[in-house]
Amino acid sequence: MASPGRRAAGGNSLLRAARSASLWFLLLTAALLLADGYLIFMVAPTDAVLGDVQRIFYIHVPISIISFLGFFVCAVAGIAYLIRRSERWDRLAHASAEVGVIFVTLALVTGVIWARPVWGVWWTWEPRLTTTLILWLIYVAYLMIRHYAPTPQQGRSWSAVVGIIGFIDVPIVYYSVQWWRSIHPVQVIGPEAADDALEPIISRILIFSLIAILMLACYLVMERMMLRAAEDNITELRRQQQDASPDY
Amino acid sequence: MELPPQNLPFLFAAFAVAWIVFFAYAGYMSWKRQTAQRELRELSDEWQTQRNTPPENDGP
Repeated sequence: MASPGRRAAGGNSLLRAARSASLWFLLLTAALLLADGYLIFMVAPTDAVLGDVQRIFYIHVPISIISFLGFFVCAVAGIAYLIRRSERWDRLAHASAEVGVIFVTLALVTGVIWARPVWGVWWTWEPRLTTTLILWLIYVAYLMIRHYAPTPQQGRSWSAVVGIIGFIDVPIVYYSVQWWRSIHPVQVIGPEAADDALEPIISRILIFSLIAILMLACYLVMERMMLRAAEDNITELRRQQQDASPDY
Repeated sequence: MELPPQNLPFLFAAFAVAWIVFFAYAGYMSWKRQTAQRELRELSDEWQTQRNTPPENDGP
């Protein structure tokens, strides 16, 4: 078995390589996000009815979709963790859930800011908003379970179950605008979106925005996973040091 | 023809909130990771020193 020092050194070289890769990924993401900003503010047409505030749509929709994707990855990684009990799957589930919570929080906030001038209210208990708030609560609970569980092992297993069951709310959020017709606009992306839901230029900019923000989400998940890996290495090193020298 | 409302403060607020949260989260992750890596290096060095130090000889 490798000594803790050697393990840490190996971990360090892996972390250095990952850090270098993540820096290049960050630069590419930053370039895409700058281009996205240019497209949103300089190229996208101003909405004839709602005016400039409709440009919020170009971040609100991608952020919402990517939060769904984050929770999907969390659920799949949670299933894999329960089957294989591998730390890597747990790290991926944890990172995806945390980034998913950041994104769904921003989806709610940007939606609220858009709703005030368009609907005349900051918040209304309509189905899309309510189911999204429930989604937010489920995954905040996921993160709290990890933190407050009696042992880290129980936290991982319990949160994996919450992550899997919680994902049931994602299709409910997506289809809520059709199942309970309300004031929220219908889907513009995904299986239920009409082919002519958007003008081609708007559609293209939205897809570009989706790719740029997806890259940002991937970067954040990678950073979170690397942080967890470093934290796990520290815990393991401390444990082995204590085992080797009880007086340490 | 009536022009559409601009509502620029709302547009600014939505983008500002999103970017501030993204930057703050990314910055926090980066800072935490650097701190963790420094701690990992220190622990690793400490472990090596501990292993290389010969045990104290209490004598016969």
